[in-house]
Amino acid sequence: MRFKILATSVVAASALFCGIPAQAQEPVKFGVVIPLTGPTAGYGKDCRMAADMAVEEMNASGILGGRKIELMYEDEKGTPQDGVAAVQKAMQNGAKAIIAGMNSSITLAESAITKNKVLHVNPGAQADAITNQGSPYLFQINNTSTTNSTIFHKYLIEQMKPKTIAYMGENTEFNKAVLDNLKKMLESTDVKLVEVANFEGTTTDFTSIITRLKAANPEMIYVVDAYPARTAQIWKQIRQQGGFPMEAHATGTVQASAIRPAEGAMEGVVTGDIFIAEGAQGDMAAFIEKFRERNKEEPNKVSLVCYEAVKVIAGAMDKAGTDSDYDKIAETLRGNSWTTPRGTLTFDEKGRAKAPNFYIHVVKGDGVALRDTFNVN
Amino acid sequence: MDLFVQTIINGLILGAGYALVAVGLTVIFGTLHIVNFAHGAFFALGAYAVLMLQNLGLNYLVAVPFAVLAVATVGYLVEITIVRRALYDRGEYGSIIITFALAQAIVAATILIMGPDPLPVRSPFGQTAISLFGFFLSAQRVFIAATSVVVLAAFAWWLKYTVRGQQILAVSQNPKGALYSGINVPLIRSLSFVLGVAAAGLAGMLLAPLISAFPTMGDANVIVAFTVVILGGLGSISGAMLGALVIGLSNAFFETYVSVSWTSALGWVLVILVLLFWPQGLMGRTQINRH
Repeated sequence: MRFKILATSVVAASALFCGIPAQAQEPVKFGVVIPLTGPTAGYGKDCRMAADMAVEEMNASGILGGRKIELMYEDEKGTPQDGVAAVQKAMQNGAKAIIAGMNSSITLAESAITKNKVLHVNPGAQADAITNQGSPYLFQINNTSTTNSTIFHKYLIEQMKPKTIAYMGENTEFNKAVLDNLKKMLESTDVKLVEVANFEGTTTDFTSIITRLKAANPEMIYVVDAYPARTAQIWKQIRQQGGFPMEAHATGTVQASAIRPAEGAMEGVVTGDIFIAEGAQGDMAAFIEKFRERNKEEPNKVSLVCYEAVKVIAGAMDKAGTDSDYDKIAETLRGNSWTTPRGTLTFDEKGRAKAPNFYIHVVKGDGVALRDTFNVN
Repeated sequence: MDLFVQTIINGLILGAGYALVAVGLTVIFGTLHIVNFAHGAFFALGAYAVLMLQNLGLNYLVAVPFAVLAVATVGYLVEITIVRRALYDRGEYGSIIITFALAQAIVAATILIMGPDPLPVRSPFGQTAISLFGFFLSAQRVFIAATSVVVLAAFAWWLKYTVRGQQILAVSQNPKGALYSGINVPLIRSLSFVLGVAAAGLAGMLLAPLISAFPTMGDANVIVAFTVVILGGLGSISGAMLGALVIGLSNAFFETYVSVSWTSALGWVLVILVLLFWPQGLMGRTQINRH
């Protein structure tokens, strides 16, 4: 007992004399709600490696007055109900910020829980509806689907010049945003959307859907699906039915985890994203090299946005001098620019970051090759 | 007309694949009265078993029978350690909870061991398509349909014409009566469970070259299997085959001629309609025969 009193007195006296606040020893907890199981668990794995890497860097840098950042991982299992439960658990366990957003429908459900309560950074989900809600503490690292789709659709229409397009996509919020954008952009052109097939996530076979699309004889097939295994399956079945003269896949969704199991069926498919390893320079090249060295794997877009999410949150809390005054942190996030591997990120009033560049890819081997680069702003 | 014929072909081939997944489910329910929510997990285990054997250097066609044995062995271990102790004669409700937990455990273990990413399973048929009189056929799908027909026909023959097969039917109809007749009921129950999960595993092995191997690959397929089994009549093997063909053809026609978006609801609409007019399903036994 006497020893405990003595020890407490020594710690208190040290803190007082050194001028360190009592909370300096407490870690700042970030809740990272990602799919660790379920059909998109691969995204969770990519995100986790990058988030851990960012935390190691932040903790080594002595940011936040020397307080350590601690990541609490929760599994959203690829469903909105599990996502909501996981966010609630992280908040109950003292998370000062929530990093959640790999799938738009799930992120929408999660953002209803975090609204006005805690800082929520959505690293990967793209649907515009997420940041259209007007949630003051919600920020998005990835481009919106409208930003990405507008550039991509412009490329498809003006550069590839199909006369007719057949469209198939999973019935989700993301798909809806992409399809609406495509329809809007086609209004002012002669390109016809000859077939639209929106399928449910429980669909196990696409033969009949592809038969239907082929019967419309389109010049281009445009697939919108973010689930790697299903993406591989769809493209295999498209290839088995002879393929289409022009083939495109939704932006931001084509990763090696889909290309590899497709076993060559995605070769030549045109897509786009905010990340490409080919030709990377400066901070991006350093990020890629460090990621490879640490994880013995190739980084991808998911790794990039999760890495950036951790760094941006830590930077904003540090600059704002608080981990829980969210008005101040949100103001700091909007009022400053943030250096990341992609370059300088700024957030608009709706909390959306815009990546400086958008890349048009074409699937080549087990990866993608750069076809074109566009400036987003 | 070409589209119509192609749609029939698509539906028949799809239905044959559904039948294989559904038959294992219905055998386990019919004989053991267990609603096996772990069926999808055994489906995935089949895919991973064939993938691991391929990684050891075996050809896909050689690996499949060994993988069936591997899944059957895992099934037997699960039967003697969990199912036999916790589920027999405990009713369907307990089985739902325990098999659901078992499914979660298998999926979690698969993620830990194999990782979450989809992995390609290579088949000699690959992405080859066969063109017959101008109609398209996926070689792997044809292989699945042919295997499904052969396996299911052999299974039906075995049930009807062998002593063991008749014993399975006897236990499914009246376990106590079967016991009093001198049938080794625990052995027959083990055999039924192992056959059921082996069928699920075989379905996973056959479909893996089309959909890749990933831990939750069984989820969507087992949902379809449930609609097939309920439609055909719980516990009825011939009902499962008929249900699979009905669902396969209906899905193909609906997707091609009506609406892709509504197709996933179609199976359940058919189930509701059939149950309204035939409460035991298309070929299910009436409740009075169950115990």
